[in-house]
Amino acid sequence: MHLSISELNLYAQRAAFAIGLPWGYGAAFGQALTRLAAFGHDPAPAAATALTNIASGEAGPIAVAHTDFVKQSHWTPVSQQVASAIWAGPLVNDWLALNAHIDSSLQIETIDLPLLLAAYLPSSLVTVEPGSTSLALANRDINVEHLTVVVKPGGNLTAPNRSKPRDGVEVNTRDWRVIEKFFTRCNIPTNASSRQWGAGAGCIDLG
Amino acid sequence: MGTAKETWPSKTWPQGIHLRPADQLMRLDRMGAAYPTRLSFSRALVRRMVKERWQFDRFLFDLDSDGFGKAVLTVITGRRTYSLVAFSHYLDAKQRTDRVIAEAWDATFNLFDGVPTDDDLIRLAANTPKQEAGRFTAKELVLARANKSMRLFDHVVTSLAKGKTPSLDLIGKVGYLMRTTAVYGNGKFGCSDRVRIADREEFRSAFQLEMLCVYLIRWFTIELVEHVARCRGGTTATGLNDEIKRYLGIGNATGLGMAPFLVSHPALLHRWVEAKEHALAEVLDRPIAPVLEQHQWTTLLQRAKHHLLEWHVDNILQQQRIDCVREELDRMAAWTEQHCPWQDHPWAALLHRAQSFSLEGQELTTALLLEIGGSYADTLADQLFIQHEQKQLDVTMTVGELLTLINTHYRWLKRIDFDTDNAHRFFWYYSQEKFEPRLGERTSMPGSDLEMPITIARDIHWLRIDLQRVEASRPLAHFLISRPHYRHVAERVQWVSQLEYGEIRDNLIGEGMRPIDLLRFKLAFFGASKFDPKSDLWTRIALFQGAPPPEQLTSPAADDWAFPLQPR
Repeated sequence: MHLSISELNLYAQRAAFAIGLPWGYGAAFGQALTRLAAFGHDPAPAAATALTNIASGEAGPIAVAHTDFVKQSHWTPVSQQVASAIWAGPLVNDWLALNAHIDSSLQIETIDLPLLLAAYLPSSLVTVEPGSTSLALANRDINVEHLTVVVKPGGNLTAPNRSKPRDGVEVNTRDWRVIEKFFTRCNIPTNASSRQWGAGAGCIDLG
Repeated sequence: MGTAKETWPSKTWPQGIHLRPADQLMRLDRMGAAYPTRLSFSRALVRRMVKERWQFDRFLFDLDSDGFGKAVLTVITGRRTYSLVAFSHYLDAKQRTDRVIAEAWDATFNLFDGVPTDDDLIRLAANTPKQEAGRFTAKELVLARANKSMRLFDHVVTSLAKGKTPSLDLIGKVGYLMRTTAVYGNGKFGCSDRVRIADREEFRSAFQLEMLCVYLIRWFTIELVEHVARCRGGTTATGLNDEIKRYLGIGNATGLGMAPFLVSHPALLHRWVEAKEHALAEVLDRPIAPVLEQHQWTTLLQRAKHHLLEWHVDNILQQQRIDCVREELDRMAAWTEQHCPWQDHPWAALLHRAQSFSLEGQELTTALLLEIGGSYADTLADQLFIQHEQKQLDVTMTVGELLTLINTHYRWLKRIDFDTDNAHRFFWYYSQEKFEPRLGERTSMPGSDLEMPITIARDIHWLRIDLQRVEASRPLAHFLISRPHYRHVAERVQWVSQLEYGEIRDNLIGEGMRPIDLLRFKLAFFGASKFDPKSDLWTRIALFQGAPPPEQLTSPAADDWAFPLQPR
């Protein structure tokens, strides 16, 4: 199924909001999916899994306090077994910003979707190493779950990754329907009263 | 904090000439009094068509005698070809509605990138009539639909079929044969994202793609009505004369969906307003008015007055405003004749004179002054775009620094008392019914927990309160860990505080807020005229009324269509 990037962003943001994430996290989620698509991945499976993990309670936020933004940091999930990449992504970028120019390391335990997490980061500049505890961005065949990600800053972090697939993206229809279902939770059921508050309400065409 | 600094063509302003401040301009009541100007998107498009000598062609016109079927109208810009693919359908009168929740229309359209193949036409025939329920590809740039004006369409067909000129009175009253009810661009329903075509010079400036689609739809409506008339009347039938063709625009029914755009694109909003103010400042800066410009001014005043005399609406408040502006124009004309200092900054003096007028009178005066603007204004009109809309949250900023930004750039929040229920009366949301944007009343309707994030004033107010509870030297990252709901709000403050005109300086969820003010502001930038508000939630307007149709683009007055007058 063909989608525009605008659609991908809109649906991702609102689907994330619908399951309890703040708008800023939803927006970052949309941008990460766009980057996944730019890498050549279909973003729908990762998005569907990430949203379902949160909605089902299987994945959740990371237990982070301000003292955890130091140069050697080790993050773990709050209470669930697995930390959600959607919750972790913006926080990892925040950690990177605070520790950009010093020798530093962040280890995150049991992230549900390391590839999705990697898509949040200024990916051309940050190395996430392959192996049993981390992941390489360049290797497009990797699809693993519940790994620990080690992030080490390097290079110029101020240049954002702006690449977007110009002709839209092809997504797996089955996974996209999962995202659509979460998206529609953001829309409010209609009734006769609410219909009166829409534009054109009471319109009789004399035009 | 990354924000692209977009620069204007070099201009320096002498002392005494200032851009009008955002506290004055970015208020809903003034935004809701906006008029189309020389910088409007539709004017910019037509100027480009004229300058670059775009060519138009009826590539395919496969309509039956009732006008049902398909058509492809092409435009060759010199660099590329674009096509309007049109499907015209029978529509039962009971199904005809302007609302987003409509399921069928008189005509449905795509603006296509290139010329569609037979396979493209088969694919589009299966999808375009479904509109939001269809799926589209990056070859489709815009998706749109329109309904006939029941008052005018049949009358024009019947008259032309009999070889007669249609009623000029009715043409004047309605002003269009068909009315678009949605024009979707930028990736909606799988259509092309803006990023795909943004580097094409003809589409770099704001909404040029959508304007081209509407211009072609307008041309289609004229071709359609003449075709049906010919089929009915045979050799007796006649066509519309040039004056009528030029006067007929495209109607539009605009609802709430347009409003959130202004909130979610502050960099663009700032760009548009700043451009207009720069264009105005250039005019005000002129020390004298040559005779030609004096004559142009008095002609414009006359024309604007007659245009206002032809503008009638059912909405009592808007009609009162129109009546007031008519009187103010008379006063302006009298002052011009008796007192205008043509040799001593006349345009600044005229604007100063208008400060005693109503807001509509002031904004109309601004629009008239911009008509005098000439090539500088036209140059700015081609630059109403943002190269890169960069926003990136800077979490290394301290709490104190963010608070300073709020206290400096959001002083206007102090006007609003958020402790009252009135300040939170409304919420904006999308309905499950075809995602129609709606306004809800917070105390009487469910769903406010799902409201759209355009509650800017309230959110920044709350952010300021919570920032004041935290040590000022702490980095923002620490503040946001335990308050993640402020992430997008903090980002907005950092971003928009650099954009003088980027924020609407009113409470968009408070008592007294009228969505129609947002709609009119944006529509004025489109070039829409004859605002005809049907409620506080939606309005009818006309686009391209007075603009030369394709066969008249080479006429000498091709760009002179501000304040169009009814044919006589």
